[in-house]
Amino acid sequence: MDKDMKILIVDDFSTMRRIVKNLLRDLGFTNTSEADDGITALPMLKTGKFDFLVTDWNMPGMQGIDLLKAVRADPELSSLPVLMVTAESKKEQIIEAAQAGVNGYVVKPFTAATLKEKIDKIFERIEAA
Amino acid sequence: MSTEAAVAEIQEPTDIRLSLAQSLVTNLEQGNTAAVEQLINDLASQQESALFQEVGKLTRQLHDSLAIFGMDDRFPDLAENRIPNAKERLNYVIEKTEESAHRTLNAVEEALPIAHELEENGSNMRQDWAKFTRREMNAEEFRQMSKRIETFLESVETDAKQLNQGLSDVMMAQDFQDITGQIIRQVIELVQEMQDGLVTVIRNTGSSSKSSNEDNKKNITAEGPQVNQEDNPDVMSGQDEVDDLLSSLGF
Repeated sequence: MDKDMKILIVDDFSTMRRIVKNLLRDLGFTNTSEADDGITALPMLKTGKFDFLVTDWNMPGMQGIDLLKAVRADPELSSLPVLMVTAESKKEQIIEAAQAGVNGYVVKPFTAATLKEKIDKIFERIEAA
Repeated sequence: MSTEAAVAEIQEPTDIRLSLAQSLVTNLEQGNTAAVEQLINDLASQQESALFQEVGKLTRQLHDSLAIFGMDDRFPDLAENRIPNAKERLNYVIEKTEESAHRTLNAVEEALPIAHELEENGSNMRQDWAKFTRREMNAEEFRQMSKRIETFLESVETDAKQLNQGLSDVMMAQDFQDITGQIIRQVIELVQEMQDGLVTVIRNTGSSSKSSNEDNKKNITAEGPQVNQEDNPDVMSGQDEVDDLLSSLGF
């Protein structure tokens, strides 16, 4: 796994973005950018050559699930690994995200260990494929 | 009750009072005392019945307004589900913020003595070292200082690790802001909706308009944090359950 990979963190709450950013830095990932919803994230993804997307679900403007669907529908971005970090914890929502092609799903509140485990798993699968 | 109907109801007693007043004048002019007394009594009773009619009208308006409350689908739903739900959500906000405050305070309370001790040890060490550079230290004192330096360097390593852990705990304790912010936003929406509903009722008093049913089409959308997880089997209780579900889906 490349520690220099470019990561976009999307969450409408700046505190949560800070927490995720700090956790990622603890894990060795320092090349991060932030966006506060899908509408701001999508153009950044299209031009920014990101390697990994970490997104919340519930955001004003464009929600995370719609951002995920837009990423998968875009031929340039369709293979971008996406980790959803969200408080949405209903069965049908998780199934919806899985069907939309999410690579990992972390429910809030979460721990640093959970985040690390999910990121490791996502990149293990990608490297094995 | 329409305005026209109300005017028609008032018209009749006014006519009666006018004719009563006219015959009162005539009888007064003719000095007909008995008839005058009778006519004054009749006029007074007319006044009373007009008052009863007003009270009746108000009662009917009140009844109609109450009927609107019952007929509008939103009101029973608000009263039975959404307001109690909002109360539960706000209590959850209190719980989460309290928990975070305690977590932060615990971490700070653990870190403070460590920082204090580091400061004190560092200061002692500096004084020892100054004494040594001034060549005021004999061989035995030097041996003791070397020992203290060794233990100090060891403790710096473990203390720094502990401080690091404490600071991470403080950071992670801030995760409440995201969850509570979402919940409070939902409650604000509910209050806004209630306000709109009440304005509609006030505006429509007297007419019984029934609001159109909201479309019930099932759409999977963001709901925010689930507050009452125990009572809902569709809600995952944590990361482990989410992982189980995802692995059952082939993840």
